[in-house]
Amino acid sequence: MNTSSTKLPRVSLDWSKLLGYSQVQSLQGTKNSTAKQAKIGAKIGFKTGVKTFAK
Amino acid sequence: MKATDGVSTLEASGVNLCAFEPDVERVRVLDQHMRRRLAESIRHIADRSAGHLHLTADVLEAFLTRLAQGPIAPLAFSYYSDIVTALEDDDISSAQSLFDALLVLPSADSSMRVTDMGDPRHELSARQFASFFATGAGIQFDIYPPPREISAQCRRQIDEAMRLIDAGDPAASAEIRALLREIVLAVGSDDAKAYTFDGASSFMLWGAIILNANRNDGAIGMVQMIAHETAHNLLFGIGSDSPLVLNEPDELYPSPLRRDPRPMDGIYHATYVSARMCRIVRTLIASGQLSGALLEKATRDAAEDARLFRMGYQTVQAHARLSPVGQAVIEHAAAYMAGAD
Repeated sequence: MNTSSTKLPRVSLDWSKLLGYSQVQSLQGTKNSTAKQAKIGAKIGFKTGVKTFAK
Repeated sequence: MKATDGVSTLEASGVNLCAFEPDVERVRVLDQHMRRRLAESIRHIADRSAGHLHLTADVLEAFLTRLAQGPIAPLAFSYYSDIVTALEDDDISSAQSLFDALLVLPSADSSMRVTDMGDPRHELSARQFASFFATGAGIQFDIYPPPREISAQCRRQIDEAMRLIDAGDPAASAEIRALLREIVLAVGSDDAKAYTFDGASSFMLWGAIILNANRNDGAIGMVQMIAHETAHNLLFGIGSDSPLVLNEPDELYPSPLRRDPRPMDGIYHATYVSARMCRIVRTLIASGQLSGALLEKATRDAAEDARLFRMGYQTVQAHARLSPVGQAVIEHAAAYMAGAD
């Protein structure tokens, strides 16, 4: 018996139709092609220690 | 800096995408565009997920109708992004939970809201905000709900900053109030050795910014913080159809605003937002709204913002590969800064 058939098939998304993921198209087939890794970058200003302004 | 081909459908909107000066009409066009693209994306996901996700047609259509009619809670973009991630991971259960949360999100208030982040241990919305600090770059940020007194102090700073902007820079005020739907207050770690944050924004949090409420640089600092995060959001909108920066993400360069080497996209953003911070402070100085210590700090900060812009712009000029829109945006900023020197 082929037990693999019990696994839900992957939902296939067309990256070109997804806001913010157009750049994933160019990465298809590479190790970095996942949406997680391509998640559109957050911009975070940060510093080390609450008393040291490191702008 | 080398521009390469790349055309955004936003370019056909008739609005001047690349102008440096604040433009409330541009922000309205960008917001409509972002909501329309989000609706198209959600409909595509719903279509492709048939048989996997249980979505009630009436509820989905009601949400999409609200999305078309006006601004939505910024968390909608975050939930959408995580639905995509969950589906790619075959995590149908998480995708379903996120979709359920997405479809009941309220429309955004017409005015800018200031909210305290909840506890990520207990609230999905707080976990969503905190997730933007999981950089995956070896830097761990802790983010917590703000204590009541710190939140109150920060709210007073925001009120004072917005009063200055309203009075001294009406164009920026209109842009900020049209673009920012929510300012989320949080705090970082008390550990003096820990990384903590000043502020954060993300493409996938369109219309919201997260500020560290534990700050002590007064109204002029808050003016720049708001201008800074607003400028990030503006760039997210302008680049929503196609990237402004084409360099590979693993190409790292020194940043004018952070100690760690950053991808060119980060350098580009930091450079642009420095120019916007400089512009708003100089505009307030020129308006005559500032005096005494406020004027002294504004004068110092404007000079520092200009220095940071020059640093960043040198790196952009030397190493960036930009789309035509990306090049025009930064050149308009450079033209303003050259004229302001």
